[in-house]
Amino acid sequence: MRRFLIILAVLIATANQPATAQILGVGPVEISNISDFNLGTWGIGDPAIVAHMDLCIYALVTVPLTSYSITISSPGGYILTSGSHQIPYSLYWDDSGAGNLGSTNGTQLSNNVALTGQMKANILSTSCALGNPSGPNARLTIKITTQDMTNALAGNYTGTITLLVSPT
Amino acid sequence: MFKFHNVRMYLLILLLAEINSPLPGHAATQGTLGPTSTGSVNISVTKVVEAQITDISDMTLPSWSIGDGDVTLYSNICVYSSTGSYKVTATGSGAGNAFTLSSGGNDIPYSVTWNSNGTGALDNNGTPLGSNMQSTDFSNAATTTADCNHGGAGNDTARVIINITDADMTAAMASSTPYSGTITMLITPF
Repeated sequence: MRRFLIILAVLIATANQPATAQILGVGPVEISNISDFNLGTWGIGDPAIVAHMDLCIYALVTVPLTSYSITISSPGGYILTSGSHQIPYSLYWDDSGAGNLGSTNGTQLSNNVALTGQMKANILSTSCALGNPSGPNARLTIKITTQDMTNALAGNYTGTITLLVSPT
Repeated sequence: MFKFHNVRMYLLILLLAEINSPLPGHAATQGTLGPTSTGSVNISVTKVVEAQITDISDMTLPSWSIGDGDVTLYSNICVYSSTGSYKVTATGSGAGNAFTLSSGGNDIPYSVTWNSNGTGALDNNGTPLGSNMQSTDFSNAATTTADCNHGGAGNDTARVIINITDADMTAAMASSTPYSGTITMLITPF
């Protein structure tokens, strides 16, 4: 019965998808609600830096049911740079789903390594506007330790990460 | 004849926050619907320009009498600078900010020297400082620990030295109360 309902939901969901969508095989995906990590300023005595953004992952459910993978990469690794100076950071992915984000610390990511088996994508809306509950369903967290911030020389440090979502 | 000297220095912390806008040349990009979807995120953080001076000790000469010669006292100091570089402004407590020790109406002048050789290399040589005058550029400040790993002679990064000539000590009037003064040190990172 559960599988029937899922398949029924798939059929309903795919009714409004582009012509390229397929019931069987790999369906399209989309990542949205992305924003920048502007971490502000940091000085001695400030706590470790922890920031997160909540994302919308849409994945057209196929039969058999598929999950998605997330790969986050940055040239040179997870480091921010200011000239020749660097600050390392770490990233965590939380796939708890809409309404549950933050319930776990997430899984630590490695640069350019896919984290597979993520199951909580929205299957009804590319903007995550539909569903019960609706809304963002994945959380990306960035952390920089106080020691790494203390070790850094003064300056403006920047970096860019690329997020790749693939059906698996 | 005994004369007592007590130079007290007080901690002065200077925090200069250089707040710059964090930059990103372009905003985050959203993914699009497709077999895979890719987005990008810009990350920025600013480490502020700031400094801290700690591990300061009072400098005390219990007594002095004819024949003891020149007086040299010093205090090792931890100077942290998030840039590694700094300037120092030392100010005396005498009239017009002069470097003088006072007892009643009597004064003893002294000179101040700054050694910035860094951890493990401090000695009593250095750069003479004028009272209330910003110094030349110094380096070798601690950059990875704000308190020089809890300070101590082996970890401090600078030394302040005061000198009183034998002639000035000889010329000073004996006093039942110690000659004393204060040096205020302002650290400015750059």
